[in-house]
Amino acid sequence: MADVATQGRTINEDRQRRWRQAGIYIALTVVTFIMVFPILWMISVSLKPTTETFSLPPRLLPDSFHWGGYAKVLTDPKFRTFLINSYVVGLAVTALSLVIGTLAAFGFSRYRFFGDRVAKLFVITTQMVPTITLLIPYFGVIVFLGLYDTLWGLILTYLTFALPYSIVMMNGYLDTIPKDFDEAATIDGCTPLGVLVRVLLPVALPGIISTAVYTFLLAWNEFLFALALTRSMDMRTVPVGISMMVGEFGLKWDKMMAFSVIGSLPVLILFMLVQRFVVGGLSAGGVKG
Amino acid sequence: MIKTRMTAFALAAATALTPLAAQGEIEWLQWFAAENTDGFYDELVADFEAKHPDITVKLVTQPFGKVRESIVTDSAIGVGSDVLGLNMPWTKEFLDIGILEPLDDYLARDDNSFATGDLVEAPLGKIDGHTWMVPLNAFPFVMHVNMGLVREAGFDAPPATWAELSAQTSAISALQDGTSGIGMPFSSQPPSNGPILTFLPLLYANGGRIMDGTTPNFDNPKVVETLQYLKDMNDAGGMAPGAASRTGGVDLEEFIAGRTGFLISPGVHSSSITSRNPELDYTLVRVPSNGENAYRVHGWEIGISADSANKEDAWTFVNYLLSPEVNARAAKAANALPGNLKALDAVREGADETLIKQMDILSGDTPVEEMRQSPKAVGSWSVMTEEIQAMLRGDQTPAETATAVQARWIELAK
Repeated sequence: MADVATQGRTINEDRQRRWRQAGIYIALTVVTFIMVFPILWMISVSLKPTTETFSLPPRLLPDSFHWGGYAKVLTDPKFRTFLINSYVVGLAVTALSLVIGTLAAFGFSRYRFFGDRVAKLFVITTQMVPTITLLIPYFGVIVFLGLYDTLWGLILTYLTFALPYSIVMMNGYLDTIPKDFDEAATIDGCTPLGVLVRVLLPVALPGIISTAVYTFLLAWNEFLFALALTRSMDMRTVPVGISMMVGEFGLKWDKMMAFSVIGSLPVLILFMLVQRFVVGGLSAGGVKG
Repeated sequence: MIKTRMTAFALAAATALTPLAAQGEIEWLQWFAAENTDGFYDELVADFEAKHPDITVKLVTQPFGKVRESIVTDSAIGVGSDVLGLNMPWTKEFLDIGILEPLDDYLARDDNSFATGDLVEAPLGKIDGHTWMVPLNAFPFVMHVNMGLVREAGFDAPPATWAELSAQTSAISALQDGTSGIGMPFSSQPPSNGPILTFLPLLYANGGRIMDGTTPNFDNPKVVETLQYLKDMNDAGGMAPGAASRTGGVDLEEFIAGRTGFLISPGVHSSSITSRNPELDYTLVRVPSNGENAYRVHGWEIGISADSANKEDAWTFVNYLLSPEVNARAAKAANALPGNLKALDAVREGADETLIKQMDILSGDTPVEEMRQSPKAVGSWSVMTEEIQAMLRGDQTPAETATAVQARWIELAK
């Protein structure tokens, strides 16, 4: 009798578990669809002739694929310049913030010095200031430094946004690596820099990759400062290039969406390649070993 | 003392490091090159430089939505351009912060390539005793018509009067689901410029105005009558649903897609409409009248920065742009009417049918532009938008709407 009751309970629990799982999958599917739909629509519009952009009822698949938007974008040297600029700025900011951020994080993680807690707090606090309020001061500083309308002006600006994150992120990651590693390496004759480069960085690779991806995304997607701190077509980046297609008298939908797709591809590919490290890197710093 | 020295040092360093324009180098900040004029302005600048080897022009192009902020910010930081592309509603705001150079002395010169009397008048009117801008080209507001829907609704010709417009909008809306008579863009989304796109052209065609000189005068009978007309059209179902969330861009797209019968907007939209939907049975007419044949004139204006270090070169460039031959080319490139009316004949030659139609329709009508002299023009659009939204929701009468806009606008202008 007891067995039957237990069996009944087990069946009920199993059924409940299946319903729960089904609910979770349905919720995940809905959320995924909401997240992915704008991207699908962007691709769809980029492949539609402009007469179909606003057709009713809306259709995801066009009647015929129209590659005109891509052809216009890819054959226009302006857009190539925007892409190259975005790559230059993104890669430079990523490289610089990783080098400087990792060195700073190493200092915070492995050494105690006067004012270290205040300095760390200050680094975190800079992240809390809304960037829009910094636009005019940054504008003034960049002009003062003679870097207005140069890629160096953008690199320097983005570096100041990316560095605090890099420091916090790498500091969290390095803190998870036991100090025994450092001591063993030191006994074997490593200098402090040798400890960082030969011992800690290989272990911290997931953290480095996730920090790099975040930094690259920040520089690649940023619009407001790129618009304010540059004025020549030769210095514009992808987001500003896209905004140039929103005119006073209408939008060039096919070109705008084609360029948006082309502009999104590097980020998507990058993220797909290193997704494993990014997820691992983001969560690793949260737990101390 | 130390602080003073530090400040002086910083200022000196800033002056030394700030890139100053060399003699003969000017910058032209505008959004025109980002419109449907691919490559035209680069060629124009190259042509100017070939004719004036001692002057180089740097073409600085910003998206339209950012130009106003850019001009203000650049000026504040000291990196303002020499020649500025301008929109008339920004005038008062720019004058308040001293961005613009008065052009009276330049316009009075004998060796100009144009006669001031030949220029489109609207941007030239004096404010604070001076002229601040000149017209590169002009975009009169017209009504674009989907003749297919007009005929389907049982009419042979587009509406010429308010009464005909009401009848046709209701009939078109009754045709089928998803089809509306006319779109009215009263979205609060910046720049919230729906009222100046549609309400003002109808008001001017009704013989009304919203300004008394430089003072807002929104609560007058003509305004109330025009608001009542909008409300009646909405109540009769002639207006596309969701006016409070429609932007000018959405209205244009809906018209191009063939879902609205009429669109009130600048004539320049005709090229987008015909190129993007060649199947559309399309024509354009003057905005239906209720007593006066007047149109709202919009355009691309040019001014010179008060802080420019090369004002003479800047004027040489402006002078070049306004010469009949160059001005005609600029107008054709934008499918617009020229700022220099001496260029009209050259524009007419080889112009497409829609442009010729605009020139014919508007040759005898009265141009009206009030935004240039209006205080806090851009802010006032939001006020009008919000109050018209409330009226269309049924929360207030047209008279209450006019009173509310007037009160809020006066408060805003203080």
